[in-house]
Amino acid sequence: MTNDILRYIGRIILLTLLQVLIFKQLHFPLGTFNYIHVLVYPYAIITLPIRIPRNLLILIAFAMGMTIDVFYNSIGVHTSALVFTAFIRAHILNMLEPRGGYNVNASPTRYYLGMNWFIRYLAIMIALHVVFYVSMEVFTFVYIQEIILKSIFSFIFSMVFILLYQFLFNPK
Amino acid sequence: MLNIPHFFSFALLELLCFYLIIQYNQNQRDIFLNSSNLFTGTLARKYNDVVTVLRLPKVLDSIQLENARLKASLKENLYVQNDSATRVQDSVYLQQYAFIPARVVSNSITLHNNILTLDKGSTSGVEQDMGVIMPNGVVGVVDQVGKYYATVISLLNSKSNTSVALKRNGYFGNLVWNDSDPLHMSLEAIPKHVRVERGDTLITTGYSAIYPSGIVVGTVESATLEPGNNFYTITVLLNNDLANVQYVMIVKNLLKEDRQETEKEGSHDQ
Repeated sequence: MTNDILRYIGRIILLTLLQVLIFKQLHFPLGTFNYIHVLVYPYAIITLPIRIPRNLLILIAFAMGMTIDVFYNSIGVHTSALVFTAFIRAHILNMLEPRGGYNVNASPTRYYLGMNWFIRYLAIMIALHVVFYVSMEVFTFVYIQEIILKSIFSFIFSMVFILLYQFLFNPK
Repeated sequence: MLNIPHFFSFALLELLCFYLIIQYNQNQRDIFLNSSNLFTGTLARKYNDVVTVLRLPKVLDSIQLENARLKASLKENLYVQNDSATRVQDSVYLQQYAFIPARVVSNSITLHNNILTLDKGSTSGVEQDMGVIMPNGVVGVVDQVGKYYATVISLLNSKSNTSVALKRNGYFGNLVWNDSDPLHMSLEAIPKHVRVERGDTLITTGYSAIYPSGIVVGTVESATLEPGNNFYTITVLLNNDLANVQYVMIVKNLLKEDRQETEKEGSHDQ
């Protein structure tokens, strides 16, 4: 149990560091379009245990988001997206619940629920997170085209890196 | 904290995030301030537009009054008190025409005898046989006068008979309507030795003391000489469209009585 908690805390710290030290520096210029955000940190929130209290999850997301925002120098932007992701997680989990229900101790990971289920879940969560994040970052629907393009490319790149992480570590 | 519904903690933290975003991020702050300004600005402008439209009739009335006042002070509407015996150098003008602004409350153009109704009557000083004009032409002559309303025999009326002259050479004739359409009338009694060309301007003569002289009525559209006829057949294109007349001026000739009396005495002598 303590082991598990330590593992989750370790994962949160590891992903925060990965995000702010490595993925923040990554730039993929695509012509003049240089605004691809690779967001791997939602993975830590997405894969916390299913039975974790919702309020606690939202608070963890808030703390983690603030940490990342401090490094990004964009107070509130990542936080709002991550808090939203943490909030919506329970509803997406309800939506995707397998026929037998979830194992009490399970986390929503590939380890517990299989590759197909996990990719579906991950794609929905990352898409929601990215759209929310980009909307907050652009902050006006006047640039709806920019929001859509940024969201699509950020989603693809984030998914690639998260899946890479998944295959490298296959965490519980 | 852990017992409250998670939606509330979510909403609370999101609001906090919003506040932080606007407080600490220059771009988002600018956009937020700008768009709220845009919103309130647009709202204020829309409101102003509506209020302006609602005020418009009042504004129009006051402009019309102003116009009547200004028109009355024009030189053309003043009678020259030119006493040759004692030639006074200053203040030689006596006002001859005054104008009463009015609104058309009913109008017809399709009948044989078309009549307009105005919203001014005897209380405003309207009397029978006063001329009615609009900014770019002549409308007709006042017929029946009530307390608050008056009817006008439109130009487009078989009873209407207006004396107009060719601006170029001063030859005058009668403008009559022959049921054609609201834009065209006929000019009669222009003798055949006069040169008439298409496009010649027609103005009021002032002979009948109904209209001030010099108001542009229309232009000659076609002038033909029928064989064996001593007078031209002239079609006139009116300067004003009586189909959409809304605001008019009633012309009050202040020297009319004097003239009528003088003319009556003249006819007694004969």
